[in-house]
Amino acid sequence: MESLFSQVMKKTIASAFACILLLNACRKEEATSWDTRLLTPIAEAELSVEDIIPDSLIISANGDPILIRYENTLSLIPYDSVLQIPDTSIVQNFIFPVPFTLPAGFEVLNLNELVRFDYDGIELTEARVASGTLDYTVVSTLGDTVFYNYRVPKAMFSALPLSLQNVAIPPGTVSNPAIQQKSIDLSGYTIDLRGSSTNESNQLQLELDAQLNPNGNGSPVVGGQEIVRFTSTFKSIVPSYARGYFGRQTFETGFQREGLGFLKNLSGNLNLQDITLNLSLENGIGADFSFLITELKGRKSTTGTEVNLSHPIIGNAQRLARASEVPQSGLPYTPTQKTYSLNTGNSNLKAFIEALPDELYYDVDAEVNPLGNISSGNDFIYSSSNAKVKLQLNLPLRFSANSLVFRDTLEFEGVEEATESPVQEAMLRLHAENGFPYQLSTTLWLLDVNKVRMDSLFGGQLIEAAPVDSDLKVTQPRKSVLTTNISPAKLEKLEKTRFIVVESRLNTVPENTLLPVYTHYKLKLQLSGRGIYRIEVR
Amino acid sequence: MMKTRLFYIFCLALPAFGVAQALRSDSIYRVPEFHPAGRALFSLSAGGQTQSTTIPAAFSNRFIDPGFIDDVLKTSVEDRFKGDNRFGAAFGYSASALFFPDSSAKANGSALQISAGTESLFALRFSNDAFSLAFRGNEDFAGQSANLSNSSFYALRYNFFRLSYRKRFETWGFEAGLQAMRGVSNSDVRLEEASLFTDTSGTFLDVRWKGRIRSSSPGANAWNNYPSAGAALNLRFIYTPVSQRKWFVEASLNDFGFIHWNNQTNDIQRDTSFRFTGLWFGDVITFNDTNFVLGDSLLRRLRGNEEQASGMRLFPFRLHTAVSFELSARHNQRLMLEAEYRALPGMRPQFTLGYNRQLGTHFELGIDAIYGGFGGLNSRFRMAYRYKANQLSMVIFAPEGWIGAKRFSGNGIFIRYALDI
Repeated sequence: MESLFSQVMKKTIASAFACILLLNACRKEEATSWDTRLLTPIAEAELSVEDIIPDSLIISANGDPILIRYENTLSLIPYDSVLQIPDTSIVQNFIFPVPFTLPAGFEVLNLNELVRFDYDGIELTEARVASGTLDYTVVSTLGDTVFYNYRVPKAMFSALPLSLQNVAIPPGTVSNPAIQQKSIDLSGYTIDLRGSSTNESNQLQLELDAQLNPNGNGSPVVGGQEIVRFTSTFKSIVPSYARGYFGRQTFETGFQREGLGFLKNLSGNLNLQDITLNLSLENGIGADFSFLITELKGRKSTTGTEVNLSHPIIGNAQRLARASEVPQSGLPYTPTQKTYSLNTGNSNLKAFIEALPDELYYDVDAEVNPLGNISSGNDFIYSSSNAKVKLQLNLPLRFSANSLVFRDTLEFEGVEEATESPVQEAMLRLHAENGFPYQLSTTLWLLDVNKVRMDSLFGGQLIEAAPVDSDLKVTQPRKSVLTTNISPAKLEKLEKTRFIVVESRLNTVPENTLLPVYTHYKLKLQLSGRGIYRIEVR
Repeated sequence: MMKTRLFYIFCLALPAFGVAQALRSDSIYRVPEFHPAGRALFSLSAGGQTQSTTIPAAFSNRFIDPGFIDDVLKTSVEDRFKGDNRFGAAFGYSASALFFPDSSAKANGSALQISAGTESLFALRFSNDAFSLAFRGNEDFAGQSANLSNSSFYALRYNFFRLSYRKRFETWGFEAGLQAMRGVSNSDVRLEEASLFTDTSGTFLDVRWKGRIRSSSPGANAWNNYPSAGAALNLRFIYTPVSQRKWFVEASLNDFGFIHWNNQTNDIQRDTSFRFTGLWFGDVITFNDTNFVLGDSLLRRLRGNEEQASGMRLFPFRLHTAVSFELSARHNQRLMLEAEYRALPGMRPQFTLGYNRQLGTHFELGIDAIYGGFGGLNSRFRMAYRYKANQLSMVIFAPEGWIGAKRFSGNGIFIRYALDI
């Protein structure tokens, strides 16, 4: 009995050990898991007009409906076309024809040169330098010190001409010449460009004389070899003011493109209230000026549809008289101005905007002095001067929409791929509290990496419009709930989703009524989820 | 023979909770008796047990032998809801050597013991709603509030190295020891007041919680860093009339010490209420830029500003007392009464009534009735086999939990092999 019992016990204990070892060895990679039914908020968002249209474009005062004001200024004349003086150099040297020993005090250079600035059609007589330098280099192979005087008599600063006196260059040799480089800041200098005769233009007189050390012993020179070289360069001279005749210059913007990104994602039928576009031309240059808007057209990039803006100003040259040199409003001149107003009555502006172009193309030509030199060389320009076109679009945000579509593509990293998704099934609910008087149907399209549509969420369910009173003002927001089921099959597609196209269709309620939009209108969205989530513990 | 039997009694009279305690259950008093020749003892032990007022063994087994917890299993817990539910678990293994430093020690009844091992402890106290929320989800609570107050979760994993000295006198003996510990991980979550209200349509969650969360996880390779380390004291006394050995009493205080957790320790103490309405997309048009992690967002709200700092925490000490009577010299039949407590959240004092008898010369069997701890009424079956220098002991905790896993709470097994060396 005891023996049998003993054997049974032995086996029992051995089996228990074996079981433990077996459990450890054969331990499955399986996790402890269970399903939970979750009901939870996921995300919330609030959408107002400011989220769609940049704040800088929104004008709203005293609780009035929103007015969108788009402003842009275009400068027609490139800044450097008149005001930038071309970099110009002049080189002078001295060669003694035969071998000789120059005596002490020998005058090796005595120059009175005119520098000619190479302008094309522009005849400047005066310039005030805002920035720029006069750089010069002196090279000497003479065996004794050379002293020189350098003057620009018509470059004045505080009524004194630019003048360098008795500047010394140390002795040099042919193989190792003495080199001296200097840079003179010309900022603040007034330069008379009429040359020596005062009837010329674009010219500046330079004076230079150099002599061997009068107290030295002289210096031998090799015949036919350069013994002194002097190089002067006017570099990056930008005047703050220039006077003269600016020539008959033509400027063309070429076909320019301006993006209207906030309209890119909109398409469909939109009916707007009256719109105005103010074009203000300003001439701040002391020269007559004409401009021509050859073409102004809007383009919808998604469809390629183009609409040309028509108005008498388009295609007809407009002339602006020169600015007068009378200080005004802090400026040293008084610009001339002309304003044109485009509206529903005199243009197709409304249809132009209702086409919702997201690209604006224009081609503008401008001409200075279209009648030639009628000012006898008294054109002027300040650094703040230009011929500008100021554009101001006023668009009251009061509209009716019929299937106006907002479509945007968002990149999506995708739900993390897992062997087994923790979400077994789910239902998403979008709780919307709509403060806009527009009915909205939304579909989220799920696209794979090749942008092929695989499935959709919310399938065009409606977010109802908020009701309006007799003043067409929203009385209270309206709540709607949109639902979408996330089946296991849809979950698989979500894993493969790399792009989501948000497509919202907007309709005004009541139909065909121009409804104003206010800044306090908001669309509150909240996404909640109800589903079975598998928890795993490893 | 009497001495041998006494050893078995001590050996098998395992403290009901705390494997580390069970792993060193050889008495200071009996060893000298069991080793009249002064032979040393080397032992290896391993085991684990669970105990609960509410959770049947089949449910807790899913966390040991992984698998899917279905609705039937969940219902088996819910059918046993007590309002104040508790669960505890302990797992571990160790190696131990008992030896006599010299012949005089053997002669005067002194011995040294060193042991090393690791142990994991789990203690859980939870409301009915806390269980339902964790295992059913919050949908069933739509429109109502889940009460999570007075819930706690405690988990501790540590390694230990222990050195003890034991001394036997004529009628009494004592053991005093010190142990060094390395903290591997520790989580201590106490929710004094906590609730979760779920909106009917799921548009918001109202969260209320007042409590403290401390978690330490020095990392898998903590030896490279400043480790989380600690020390504890162990004391044990035993008294028996030497003349008859008809009865003895024993009392002990173990693991009385601390662990200093390193700076990989988060301490969050909050008294807060908030409404969670989901991730906020400030600009829905460019939501690509938003960090779309819902769980993180909610956790951030729950955690608030947490502190990361090192800190010292009391180790869950253990108090134990036992008294044993000889019922009959025939088959060495004895009765034992035991009371013990371990400072784990949710644990209550545990009382044990045990019976032992010898079967033949090699076997000893025992059966206990246990009440308290993390459970209600449980049983325990013990057996031991000795052959020459080998001793093999096995304790099956709550055999009813093994047999009727869906109806009874708790189960466990403890195995120990010892060799005279």
